[in-house]
Amino acid sequence: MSAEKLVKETKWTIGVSLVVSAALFITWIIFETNDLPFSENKAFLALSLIPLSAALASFLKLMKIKKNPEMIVHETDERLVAEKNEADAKTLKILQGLLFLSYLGYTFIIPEDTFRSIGWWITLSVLLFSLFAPILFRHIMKEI
Amino acid sequence: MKNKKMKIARAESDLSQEKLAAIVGVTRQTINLIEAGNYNPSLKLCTAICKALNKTLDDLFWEE
Repeated sequence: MSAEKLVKETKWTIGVSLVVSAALFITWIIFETNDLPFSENKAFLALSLIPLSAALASFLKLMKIKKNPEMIVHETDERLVAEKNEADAKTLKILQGLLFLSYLGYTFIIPEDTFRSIGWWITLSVLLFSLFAPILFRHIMKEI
Repeated sequence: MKNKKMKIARAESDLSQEKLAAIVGVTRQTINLIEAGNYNPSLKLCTAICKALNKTLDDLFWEE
């Protein structure tokens, strides 16, 4: 991965994370100010902190690289990138296993929720996404 | 298998592992691992190392 590509990717991460965080924060403000009934408005505020933290971490990484350009070699070194990709792939496999177990457990423990509850559908969607997304991304990257 | 040819070529060019790493755009540890024979560099990296040391691929990476 080249230095320019890394900086561009980091900037994109910061941008997207800030947009998501702002969207969740604005949603919380709208629900709070208009007193709209929702299960728990504070959840939006709490959720907005996660992408904000991700944006902050990426921003600090970018500042660190700009301050000390030699640091960029730790992000572009082919051996380190390969190690990181291998670790990410192993993590994905473990997460797929956990998602499958969650879906299995949810379906067996609460069978009345099957095909009915939004939680069940979300669990199934996330599981299917985790299984098919790698194939999709591989296809997209081949096209690029 | 250790890459002694690369180590010798680096010494001939009076380059430390760190300097060579900086020239080719990798960490010092990667250069060390290549010389120790514990990492197989990509063709792109091999070519960059050859250019930095003014040698050919055969000179540095061909196994006798």
